[in-house]
Amino acid sequence: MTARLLIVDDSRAMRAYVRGSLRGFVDCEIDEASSGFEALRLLPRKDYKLVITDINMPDINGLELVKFVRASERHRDVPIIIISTHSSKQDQKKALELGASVFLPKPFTPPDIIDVVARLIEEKGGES
Amino acid sequence: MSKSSQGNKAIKEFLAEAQEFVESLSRNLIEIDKAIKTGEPDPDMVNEVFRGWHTLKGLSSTFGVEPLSLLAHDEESLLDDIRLGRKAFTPQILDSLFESIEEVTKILGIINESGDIKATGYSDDRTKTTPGQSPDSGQASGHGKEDDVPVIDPKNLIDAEVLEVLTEFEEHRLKINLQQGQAIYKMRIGFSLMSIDQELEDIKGRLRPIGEVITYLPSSESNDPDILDIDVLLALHQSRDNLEAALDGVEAEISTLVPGRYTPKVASDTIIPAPPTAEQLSDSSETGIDVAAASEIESPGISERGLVQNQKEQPLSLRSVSQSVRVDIGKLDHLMNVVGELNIIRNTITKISDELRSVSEQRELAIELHRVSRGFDRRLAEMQEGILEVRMVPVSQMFDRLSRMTRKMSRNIGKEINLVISGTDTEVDKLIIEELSDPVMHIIRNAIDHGIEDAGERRSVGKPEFGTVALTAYQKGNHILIEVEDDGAGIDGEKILEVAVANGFLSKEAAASLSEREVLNLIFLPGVTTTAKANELSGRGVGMDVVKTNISALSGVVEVQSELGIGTKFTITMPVTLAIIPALLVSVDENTFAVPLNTVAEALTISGADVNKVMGLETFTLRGQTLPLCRMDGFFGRPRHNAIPKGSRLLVASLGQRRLGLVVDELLGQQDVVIKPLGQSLDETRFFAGATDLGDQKLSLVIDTASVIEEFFTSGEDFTQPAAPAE
Amino acid sequence: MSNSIVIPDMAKLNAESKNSVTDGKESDVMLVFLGFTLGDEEFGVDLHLVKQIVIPPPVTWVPRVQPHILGVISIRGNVVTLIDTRRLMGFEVSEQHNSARVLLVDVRDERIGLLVDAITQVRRVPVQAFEESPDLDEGTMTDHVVGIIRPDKQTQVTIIDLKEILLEAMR
Repeated sequence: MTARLLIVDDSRAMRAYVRGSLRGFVDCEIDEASSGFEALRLLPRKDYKLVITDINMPDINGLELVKFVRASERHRDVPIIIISTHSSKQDQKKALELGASVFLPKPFTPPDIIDVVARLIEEKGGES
Repeated sequence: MSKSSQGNKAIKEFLAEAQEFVESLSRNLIEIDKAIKTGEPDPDMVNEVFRGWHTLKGLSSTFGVEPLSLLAHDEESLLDDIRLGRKAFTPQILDSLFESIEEVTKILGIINESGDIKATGYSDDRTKTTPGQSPDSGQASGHGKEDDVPVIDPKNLIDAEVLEVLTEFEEHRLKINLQQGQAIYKMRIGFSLMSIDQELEDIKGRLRPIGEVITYLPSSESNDPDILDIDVLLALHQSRDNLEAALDGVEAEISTLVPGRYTPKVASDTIIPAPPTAEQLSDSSETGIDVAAASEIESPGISERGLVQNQKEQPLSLRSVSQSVRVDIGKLDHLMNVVGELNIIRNTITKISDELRSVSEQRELAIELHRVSRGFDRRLAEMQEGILEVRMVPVSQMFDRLSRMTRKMSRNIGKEINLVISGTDTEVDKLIIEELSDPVMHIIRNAIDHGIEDAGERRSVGKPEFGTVALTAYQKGNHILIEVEDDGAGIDGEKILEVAVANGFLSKEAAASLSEREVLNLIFLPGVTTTAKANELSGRGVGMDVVKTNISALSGVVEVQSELGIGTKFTITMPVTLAIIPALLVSVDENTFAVPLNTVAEALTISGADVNKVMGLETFTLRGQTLPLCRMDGFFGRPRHNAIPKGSRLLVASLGQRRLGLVVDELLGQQDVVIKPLGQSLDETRFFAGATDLGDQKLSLVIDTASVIEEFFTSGEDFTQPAAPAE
Repeated sequence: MSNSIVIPDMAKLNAESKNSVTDGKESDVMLVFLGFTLGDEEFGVDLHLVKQIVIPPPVTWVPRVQPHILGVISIRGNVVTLIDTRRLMGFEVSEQHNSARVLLVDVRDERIGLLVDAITQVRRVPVQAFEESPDLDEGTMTDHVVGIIRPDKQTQVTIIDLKEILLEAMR
């Protein structure tokens, strides 16, 4: 079954890169959010199988988003991939503590993200 | 297959985004430059600069643009240190950042031109790791500013609930505010999911004048599925009353996390200025310094101020949520061409409908067709206008770049320059902007290099030590005017004349007869420079001739005015757009030409009897003023009649301050024409801006009036005589 | 509305000629030229150089340019410079006949039109039948003769380096 994914990153190019990497390899439909706020607006409306988010974004940061997703009824168990540079170990640690599934450091190759996404979706599919 | 096309799209997005980054970074750096002259830059802005580099680093490493990612990495760690208070924002750092922008622009230029992003980044064989995982690269150490003030650990004051979601930067900002004794509030505000963007901008605008928002914490406890509760974490720099006033009309549940320790004057390394005087208050909106620590001022007043600022800043912050698309100019050109073709079809339809009307049994059909084609006309005109509008961009795009360069240049040359920019909203065709920045830069460089005197010299003549260069843009009718004015030494006309005569550009006698304006315009000749010092005249090809050529190529003119000891002003006059222009259609020796309407002041009927001769040159007296005549048939190398035939037309061409009467055989009408460029095989002729298709399958040349005027006045050839075709 | 194209499937021809050059053994490598006439002489140019052949559209005279430039024509909405090939090659200028055609070629990123008296045919000759630059009188034009082919006993075609000639003229 086609899985619905949400990519949250304020960089258009990064969203296009992730989308382009996954297309054709992972059976999924992708929604994009250019800010944490946009993600907050999308999240309560659809069932996402996976959320991919950056940390450093204006206003609502990735950590807050992770916490929000984890606290929500609808997406409590959805896997979350953090894509960010290595710049802050502290932020990385916090993200994982808050319940992010995987930290995928930038830069990553298309196979990297395909691999991680495919794994997480399957894992999840197996459980439920 | 689909993957690689996706990849291309991503690369395009990458280039576009990197370009946007450069533009916004320049804007922010210029703001920061202003701010550090008076104090500390806005932490939000510093953070935005950091995030910009951060994003660029992530992107360029992902896309395998090694040099860019290395550069971005360095700048990112530098900015990280600054935003986390480990380093101060010095002018030297600012300089290096400006240089880095140049570097980025260069790299992007190479990628753009070669179309190659360095294939490795997108293939699977890349083994690269994130460059330099240790941001503690020496430079960051030692300057710890946080050591100067007692360290406050937010852990003892703020819930772990809140702390766990703060990024390192947000935590740092919280700490700084706590150290300053600012009160920390948490405000729960319900946002409607439908209009969350606008509501957020509204809240930001309200809070910005009175404090610093640390972060927004979304809560998932809301009962209403359409409402999203968000906790705004605010460091309040003013009184609680001011907060209530700012939030007037907004339903907010306010709770105090940390009460403020009221400090009348805070440490100097913070962003908050001393309590403002009335004077400061009155111009604070201009300097951009937030009105802070003003608890002694009554709250209603503050709330008004807050609102004013709020409105003023709103459009700025809205930029981030605006829906815009970047379009390749080539695509717009294509659309414009299509509109041009549609124009041709429209003409054909009109012709058919006219013919149909003369057939009596088809009258009704003809009327119907006429009605329909009228509607088509209107829509077509709308479409044309729409496309033209899309092509227009504010000159701020160019001015930002210019102020960056000016800054750099003034440092290099060692003259303090105050660049005053106005009219940045003026819109110009994107193509013109692209082509214009080099010539304008040239003029500015010239002003700084030769116009503005040394500080010592300036002091001795009673001028302020720093020179002022004013860069102004405004629209006047169908033209855009760009002025570069300096308060330097001015151009010495005598010196210019000396050089021009010495270089053989004109005879002593001719020199004596030149008007002041004509003398100044000699600087546009190759080899004549504007510098007033005789010993610097040689070997310093400032290249104002190149400036002139480039501007002429865009159907523009450049003129100079100068007053010795007072300053110099260059004025560039450009058409608003190059794509579609209204033109007069004229015939010369049975050939149809188009003359851009904006270069023609008026059209008159003329015959041989109206012509006077001045030294053998044909002239016409127009309202008491002598107008030299250029007979276009002769100018174009065709045989001409002895006297101007009856019924000939005279077009009074005026560009800048020069006027010339163009004599043509007939005036055929007026039409909007789409100008198409001529191939480079015709580079030898400068007299045509391009060709246009008038719908009869035959092209008509569009006369470049500026070049004709220039040729007429400089060549010394007598175009009143039939000339042999150029060989 | 559009200029009629005499050889619409130029692409097909090109593909054919390419195959013949690359697929065959050395012995049956074919060279493909487009033949055209100026006066009573037939010339040949590399077929791949010619992008399109059109009936001459109305020409717009351009003042004050070199004499071999006839003017500009409109080809699919683009402005193309039209060259009088007779003048360019130093031939007598003569009346334009109905057989006249314009060859469109790309030189230095620019599409240029060349007016010729007539098109003969596409000449395919085996590589052995190509006589490389014969010794001719020294002269600017003879320098651009790259060879001669004789498709049959009566016909002789002078193969010229059109690109080089154009480049020289545009300098």
